[in-house]
Amino acid sequence: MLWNLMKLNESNKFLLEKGWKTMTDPINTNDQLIYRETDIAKYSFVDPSMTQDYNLNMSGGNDRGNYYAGLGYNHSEGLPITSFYKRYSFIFNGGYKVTDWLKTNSNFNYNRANWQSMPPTQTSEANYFGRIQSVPPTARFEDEDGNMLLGSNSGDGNQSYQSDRFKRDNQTDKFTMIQSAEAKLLQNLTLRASAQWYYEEGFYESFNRDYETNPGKWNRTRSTSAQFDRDFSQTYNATLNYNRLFAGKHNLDALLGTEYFDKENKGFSASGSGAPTDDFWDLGLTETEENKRSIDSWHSQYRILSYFGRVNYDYLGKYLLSGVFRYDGYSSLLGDNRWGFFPGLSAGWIFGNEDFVKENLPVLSFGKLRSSFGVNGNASGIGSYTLQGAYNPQTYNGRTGFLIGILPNPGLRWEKTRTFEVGADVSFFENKLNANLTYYSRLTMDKYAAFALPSTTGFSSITNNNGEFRNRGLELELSGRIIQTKDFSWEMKGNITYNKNRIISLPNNGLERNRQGGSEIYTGKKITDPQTGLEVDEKIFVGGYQEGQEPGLMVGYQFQGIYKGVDEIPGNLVVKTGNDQGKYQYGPAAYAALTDAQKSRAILIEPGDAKWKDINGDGMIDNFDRIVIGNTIPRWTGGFNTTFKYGNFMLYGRFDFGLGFWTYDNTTPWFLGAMQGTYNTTTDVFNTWTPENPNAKYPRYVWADQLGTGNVNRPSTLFAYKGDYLSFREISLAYSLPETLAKRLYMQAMNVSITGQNLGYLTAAPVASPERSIGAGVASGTGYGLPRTLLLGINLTF
Amino acid sequence: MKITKLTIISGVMLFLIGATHTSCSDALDLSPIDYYGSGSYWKTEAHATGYIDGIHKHLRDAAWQHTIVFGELRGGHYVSGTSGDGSSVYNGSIIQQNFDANNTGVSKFGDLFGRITNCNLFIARVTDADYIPEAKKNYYLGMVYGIRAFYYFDLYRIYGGVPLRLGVEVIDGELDPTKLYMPRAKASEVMTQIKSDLQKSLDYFGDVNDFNPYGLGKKVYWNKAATESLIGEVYLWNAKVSTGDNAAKQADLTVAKQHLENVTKNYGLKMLTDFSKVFDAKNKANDEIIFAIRYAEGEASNAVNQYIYNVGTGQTNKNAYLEDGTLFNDPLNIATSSSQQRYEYTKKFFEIFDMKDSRRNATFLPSYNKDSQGNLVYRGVSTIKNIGLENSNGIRQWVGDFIFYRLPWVYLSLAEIANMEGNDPKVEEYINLVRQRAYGANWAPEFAFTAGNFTTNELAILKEKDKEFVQEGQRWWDLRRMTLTKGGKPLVFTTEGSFEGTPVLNEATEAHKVLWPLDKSLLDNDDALEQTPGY
Repeated sequence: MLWNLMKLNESNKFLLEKGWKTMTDPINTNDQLIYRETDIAKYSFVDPSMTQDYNLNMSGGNDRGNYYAGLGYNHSEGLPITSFYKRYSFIFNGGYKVTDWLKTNSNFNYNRANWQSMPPTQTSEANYFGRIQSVPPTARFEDEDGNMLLGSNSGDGNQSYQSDRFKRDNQTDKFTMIQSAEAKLLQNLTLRASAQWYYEEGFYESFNRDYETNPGKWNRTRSTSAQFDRDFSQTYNATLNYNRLFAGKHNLDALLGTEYFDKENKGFSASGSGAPTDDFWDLGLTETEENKRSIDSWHSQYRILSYFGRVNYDYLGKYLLSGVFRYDGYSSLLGDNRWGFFPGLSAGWIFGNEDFVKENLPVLSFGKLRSSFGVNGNASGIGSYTLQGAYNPQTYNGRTGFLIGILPNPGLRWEKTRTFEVGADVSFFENKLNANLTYYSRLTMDKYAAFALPSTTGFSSITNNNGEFRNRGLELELSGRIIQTKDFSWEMKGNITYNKNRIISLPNNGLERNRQGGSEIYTGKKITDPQTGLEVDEKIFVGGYQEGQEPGLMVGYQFQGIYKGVDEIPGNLVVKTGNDQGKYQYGPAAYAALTDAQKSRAILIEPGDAKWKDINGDGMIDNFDRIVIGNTIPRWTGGFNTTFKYGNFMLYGRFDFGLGFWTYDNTTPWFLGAMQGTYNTTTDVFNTWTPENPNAKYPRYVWADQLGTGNVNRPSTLFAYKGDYLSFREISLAYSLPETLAKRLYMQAMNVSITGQNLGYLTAAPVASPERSIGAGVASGTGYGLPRTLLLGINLTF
Repeated sequence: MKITKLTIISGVMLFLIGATHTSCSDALDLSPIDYYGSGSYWKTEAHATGYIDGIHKHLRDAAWQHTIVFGELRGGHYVSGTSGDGSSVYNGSIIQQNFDANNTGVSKFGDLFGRITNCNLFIARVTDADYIPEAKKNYYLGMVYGIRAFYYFDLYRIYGGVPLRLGVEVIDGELDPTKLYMPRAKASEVMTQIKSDLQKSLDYFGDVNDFNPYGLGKKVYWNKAATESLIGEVYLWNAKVSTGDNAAKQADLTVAKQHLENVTKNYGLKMLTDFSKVFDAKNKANDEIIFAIRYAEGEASNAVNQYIYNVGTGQTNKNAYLEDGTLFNDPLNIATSSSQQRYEYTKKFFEIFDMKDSRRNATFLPSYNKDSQGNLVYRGVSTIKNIGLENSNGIRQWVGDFIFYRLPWVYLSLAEIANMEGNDPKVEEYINLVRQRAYGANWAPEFAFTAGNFTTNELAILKEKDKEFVQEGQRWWDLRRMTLTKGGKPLVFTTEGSFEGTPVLNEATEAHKVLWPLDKSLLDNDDALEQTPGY
C-alpha cells in the first residue's frame, strides 16, 4: 500500500472504519480521496522530555586545612527522538596551610558527557524542525495494526520508524588538575604560583545497520567509523604581589606576573563499510577492498607566553589610580608581529566619601566617577599555523598530491581595541537604589577579517588586518529594592545599551570609500554624465563595508501592493529579476508583442502579482530598483529581571529586548512560493490573492514561484519586519519549606520550583527567533525557535 | 615540611629568567606538523610530482563545468523547467540562454583563475629547479603548459578577452589589491598566449609519446597526445571563429590537421569495436582514450547521477513503463544510490537516434506512460552512458571517467577540416569510420554517409558528433564553430543548428550572447574589469 493518500475505491473503503478520512479531490472533483491524518510531530519529538539533575556535595575543614568534594549527575532528554545528554561529574578541592607563610591548594575535576543528537538520517536541525515537520499530514506513518511505516523515504519520512538502525556513541572526558601555592615571602610580598593541566578527550563511534531508504529498498553499506581526539593544555603561572599602606593614607597594591600556555591537539579516525553482517561495528570486519576504508590522524600545537603587571593606588580610599600592562606573544603570529604590548590606565573619584557630599546629599550612600583608557589585543581565531600558509593534500587516481591551500601572511598584526570609558556609579538610600551610567567608545584597529583579493589572482580572500571599526554607546544599569517589608520584598534590576557601529577606515583597494561588497542601487535622482553630457540615473553603492558607514544593511525591493486586475498592470512593464531561470516578466502589452520563441523564455505578469517600486521610473524593474530597508543590528539592547518574595514564596522573571533594527522572515516565502512541491504549506495561503480575495496580504499562490514571477522569491519589504522584541526568557515560582518543617524531615532545606524558559516574544515580526539577526533571503526550514521549556525542580539539602 | 623562603624565591627567579630567555628564542616558533607550510614546499622531487597530482585533481574539480556547463547546457538540447521525473532542473537560465548582467551562468570566471594560478605556481617554482631530473621536469612542464592552455582556451571561448595572469604575485606576498587588479587582455593576445603555451608544452614533451612514462597512471594525466589534440581543437577553432579583435584565420587549419593526424598515427590508438565498452568503468583508459579525468570510488564521483531518475521522490519509478511495456521498477537498481534528475535531454534530441544505432541504448534509458488505449507515450529519458559501476555493497558508484579526448573526436575534427578543404572523400571516410562502429553488426551500406555540398557535410558531422558525444561536452562549441556555408553563419544562429525550429540564438538580438557576461559582484569589486560587450 502506498505511503500517502489514495483514491477512495471499493477495495480500500474498509479503511474508513479504521480511522481513515475522506476528502474531495481538489483537482478531479468527481473523486474522493482517502487518507489517514498523521501528526508528524508525534513521530519526531519526545514531548514532554525529562531532565534530571542530582548533586551530592561534601565539605569540611579546620584552621589548617579544608576540603570540598562533589558528585553530580545530569540526564536531559532532547526534543527530537534519540537526542539526549548525560553528564557525570566529580570535583575535589583541598587546601592546606603548611606553615604560617605557605598555603597550598589542590584541585581535581572530572566531567564525562555522553550525548546523541537527532536521528542520523538528518544533518541539520533546521531541516528537522522545519522541512520535516511540513511533510503533508496525509503521509502514512503507521499501518492499521499500529506497526510503524517508513513514509516516503528515510530523510523525510517517519523518524521513529528505524532510529534504532543507527548506532552512535559520543563521549568526552575532561580532567582538570590544578596545583597552586601561595607564599607570604615578606610581610607585604606574596608569591602565587600554579600549574594547571587540562585533558579533554573525545571518543566518537558511529555505525549504520541496514536501513530502509525508500519503501522496500535497503541501504546495506554498513558504514562504521571511530574517532579519538585529545587536547592537552598546560598552564604555568607565577605572580608577585606587593601591598602596603604608607603613612596611613597612601595605599599601594602592585602585581607582576608571567604565564606560559601550551596546547596540544592530536587525534585519529578510521572508517570503513561493507561488513558481512550488520550486527557489529568492529572496524576490523569492514571490507578491505581499495578505497573502502579511510584513516587519518592530526596534530597541532600552539603556545602563548605572557607578562603582565598592575599597580593600584588610592589616597584615603577616595582618589583611585590604576595602571595595567600585558605583553603577549602568540605562536600563531609570526616574526616581528608576534608580540603585542597592551597598556591601560584608569582613574576614579569616590566623591560619595567626601565630607561636603555627605553633608549636602545625605540620601547618597555611594558615589563614584570613573574613567579609563586602555588597549586590548586579540589574536584568537587565527589557526595555529594559518599564517604560514598551507599546501593541502589532494587525492587523484589513488595518489596523494598537493595544491596551495592557504596563502601565507606573515605580515598579519595583532588586532587591537582601544577603549575609552567614562561613567558614574551612584547608590541611594543605603544602597537600596543603584545606578550606573557608562559612555564607551571602542575603536578596533587592524580588525581580522576576510579581505577580498581580485578573483583573477586565483584567491578569493585572505585573513588580513582589515581596517578600523568603531562602536560607541551609552549603557545604563539600574537596580533597586523597591519594596522591603518583613514578609514582602520586590527587587528589580535592568540595563539598557544604545550602540552604534561605524567603519572608520578600510585598506586601500582603489574603490570609492574603499568599499568591500555592497549592492548598487538607484537613488531615484537624475544626474548629468560628465563624459557624455547626457542625463542618467544616479546609482550608489549601499551596504557591505564602506568607510564612514554602518555595516549590516538590509537591501530589497519595495513592495507596493498587488495588481488586482489586468488594467492595473502597466502594459509595457518589464521585470528582469526574481525568476531563478532568468526569465523576464512582462506586462500584458509587452508580452503580446513577443514572438512564440521569446514567450517560451518569458513570463506574463498577471493579476495577483506583486507591484514593485520602479525607483528610476523607466518602466523596468531590475537589480538597481532596490532600497535600503534598514539596519539589521539592534540599536538598543538590554534586559531586566524582577524578584518578588512573599514569605517562603519567590516569583522571578527575566526579560530581554532588542530595539531599532530590521529582520527578515525568510521561511514564509519558502512555503508561500511552494518552492519545493512535496511539502505542506501554511495557513498564510488563505491570505493570498485570488479574484475572490482581492485584498489579501500576499500575492497569488502558485506552484514554484521561483520559476514564475518571483513574487516571494526576492528580498522585499513584504517580508521585512521591524525586529523590536521583548523576550520572556524565564519566569519561575519557588517555594521553600519552612526550616522547622524541613528539620522535622531530617533536611536542612527543601525547595520546590516551577520554571518556564523561552516562553515567547512580544514582537511584530513573525520569525521564530527575533534575537537572531537575519538578512533578506529565502530558506527552507530555518523557522524554529528555542524550545519552550517547563522545569519542575525539587532541591533537597541534608 | 622544610622549605625555606630562599629556595622558593630562587626557584621563582629561575622560572622567570627561564621564561624570559625562551621567549627570545624558539618556544613560540612552531611549524605545521601534518602538512607543508609555504616555507617548506618546493624542496624535493616528490613535491613537484605531488603537485602534478594536485593539478589534475583541480582539473577534475572543473571537469563538470568544462564538459556540461560550458560544453553542453546551451546546445538547445536540454529540458528546462521540470524533468520527466518531476524534479526541477538546474541551470535553467543557462539552458534557456537567459543571460544578462544579473544572470551570468557562472561567476568569477568560472573559478578558473585559481586553477591557472596553481599552474603558474608550478611553472614559477619548477622551471629552474635542480632537485628533479631534467627529463622528468620537462615532461611535467609539458603537462602543466598544456593544462594552462586548456584553461585559457575555455576562458577564450566563454569570455573572449580575459586577464592574462601568468605570474604568482599574490603567493609571493603582494596583497595590495590596487597592484593586483588586471584588466581584460584583447582576444588576440589571449589566443597568442594559448598558442605559445601549446608550443612550449610540445617542446617540453619532446619525443615522449608514451602515455605513462613516469608511472603516475595511463591516460588520466595530461600527455603529449592531449596537447596535440588541444592544438587541433584550438587551431580549428581559430580557423573558423572570430572573437573580439581576433579574426578567424583559415591558415590555422594546416596546423590543426597536422597535429590531429599525428594523434591518429603516433600513439597506438584504435577504436574499440563495441561503443558501450568505451565507457565501461571496468575498461577505463582503453585503446581509444587519449585523455580522461579519473573518478574512483571513495575519491570522487562524476555527478552524472543528476541525469537519472530518483526512486524516492521522483515520479518515473512510481508511474512509468519501460520501452518493452513492462513496469519501470528501478531497472538500474539505484534505489539506495543517490540520484536525482536535474538535467535531461529533450525528446527531440533523443529521437535523432535510430534503433539500429548501438549508441541509442548505450546512452539513454527512456521511460513511458500508457495512454487510455495502453499505448506507450514518451515521458522522459535518463542518460546512462557513463554511470560507473555497482560496488560490492550493491550501491552504484558514479565513477565513469570524464573523457576529454578520444579517437572518434579526432576523426570527426579531421572530417570538419576536410570539409573546409573541400575534400569530400575524406569527410565520408572519417564520418563512416565512426558511424560504422556505432552500428556494429547492424551496419549496412545504406547507413553510410555520402558527401554533398559544404552544408550537407557540416550538418552531417554535427549530427554524428551529437550522437557520439552525448555528455562529452561538444555541442555548444560545435554550434559556435561550425558554419552553414564555408566562412558563413555559425550554426548557433541557424534553424539547421536547432531541434526546435528556431535558432538557438537570434542573430539580430542575441549575437552578443555567444560570449558570457561577467557577474556583477566581480565588476563591482574589481575596477579594472569591464563587462563583456553587449551586456
